[in-house]
Amino acid sequence: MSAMDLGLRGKVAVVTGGAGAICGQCARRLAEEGCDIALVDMAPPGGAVERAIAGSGRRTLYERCDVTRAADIAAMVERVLETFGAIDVLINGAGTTTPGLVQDLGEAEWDRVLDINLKGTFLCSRAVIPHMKARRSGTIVQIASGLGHTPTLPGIGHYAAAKAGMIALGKAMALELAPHNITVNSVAPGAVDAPLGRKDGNPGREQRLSTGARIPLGRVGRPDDVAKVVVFLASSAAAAMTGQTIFINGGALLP
Amino acid sequence: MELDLAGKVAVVTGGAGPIGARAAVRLAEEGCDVASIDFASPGETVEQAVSASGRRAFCARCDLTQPADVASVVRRVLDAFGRIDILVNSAGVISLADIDELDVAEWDRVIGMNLKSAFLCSRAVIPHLKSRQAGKIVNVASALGHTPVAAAGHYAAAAAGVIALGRTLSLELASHKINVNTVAPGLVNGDAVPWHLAFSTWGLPGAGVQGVELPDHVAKVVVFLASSAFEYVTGQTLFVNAGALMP
Repeated sequence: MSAMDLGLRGKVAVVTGGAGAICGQCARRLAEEGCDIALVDMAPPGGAVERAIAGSGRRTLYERCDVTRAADIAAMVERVLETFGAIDVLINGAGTTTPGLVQDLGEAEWDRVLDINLKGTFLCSRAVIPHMKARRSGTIVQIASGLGHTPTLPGIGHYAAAKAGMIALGKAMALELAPHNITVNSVAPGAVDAPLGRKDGNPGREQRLSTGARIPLGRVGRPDDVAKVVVFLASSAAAAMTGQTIFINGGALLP
Repeated sequence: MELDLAGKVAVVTGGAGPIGARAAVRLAEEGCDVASIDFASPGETVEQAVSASGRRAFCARCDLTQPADVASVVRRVLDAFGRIDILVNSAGVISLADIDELDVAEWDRVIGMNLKSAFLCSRAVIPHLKSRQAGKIVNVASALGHTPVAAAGHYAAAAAGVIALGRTLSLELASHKINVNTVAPGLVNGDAVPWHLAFSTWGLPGAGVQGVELPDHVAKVVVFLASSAFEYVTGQTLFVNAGALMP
């Protein structure tokens, strides 16, 4: 373990999208650093994540929650506070996408992708902020995407717009919350070997290798590559960073 | 989180300044032997703090703008520690002057101490990182290298150059498993510079989370960039400015 005190021991982290590969790994890493974890998702998290958190001696609360519905979120926040007594860290990680050229994109699909990625981030942040403000302490980390800065392939216009919105929303919140000692930062992963990154469902080993060969560091990202940076941003090591975006992409995009 | 810094050797330039000194001490606390190198003598404080962490310290004065001096000091570090895993380029100097009143000698001095030193130190260390197919280079630039203010054009140009140099190096060295990233601090408490100029120019409150950052805030970010926690991050710039600038 690092000698540096990361200030995460005994903290409570709410992780939306906690059933997914990236956010599940964020939850494990945060638990290793001493956080109790509320896993928020429509789908139940895999048992492996809950076992890993328990293995770190921390508590887990799974909350089934639709992040596009304010009432669901309010109830979720209330139960987290009842269970753990505080919320110190919010990871806005709930996300989804489907491929589709803009000219073919149905309005319903546009709304669905914008709502889950961007509106969900707004609603979850809005619900948690008062509790962080009351304690003059908190960190919010958003799982955005490199595509929110530079769209690099066709068929992701709605997703790119949502992720760009998350980055901008994060900066706006960072300004509003700085006087309350709350930081807000984003990570922008590139290609990650996780189900959401497999645009056609399951690319298999060959596609993974061909994508990796085009990335300067020679491989696609792993959920843990993202999770370690998320822990850094959630920790006191990043106390002087707010409104920033860290790109995690093996050198594929140098914005 | 395991940072995988124990037993590594870090060369920190600018160890006589507040950020370089804190970075040297933080790296030692994580288990690195530290070579602290600067234009001025780093003094005994860093050496004592590194030793107090149970790690070995090597402190030397060096004109980092002279290729022969840099080559010689790198050789001495290798003689002392046997390897180099991490290079932190944080040596630098700032002065204030409008461009139309800037002496050519002052331009050369500031570009030399901030930018050329980073080039020469990187060039001297890279062969040793390549031979191990591993390594980290962390540059300490400045937010002014992204968003300048009046009266520091030479410094802003140098800092922007450090950022561009780092991005280029990240591409050249990625296939050797060497990461290159840059920290761009804003107002750092202890600077003898009227930074309120920067904040009024950027048009943001600058009240920030802490009001100002301390050298230790920057040092902690340097440690993470030098660690395995950032193993898939390369060619990036991390702005550490308490919310004063959000590029």
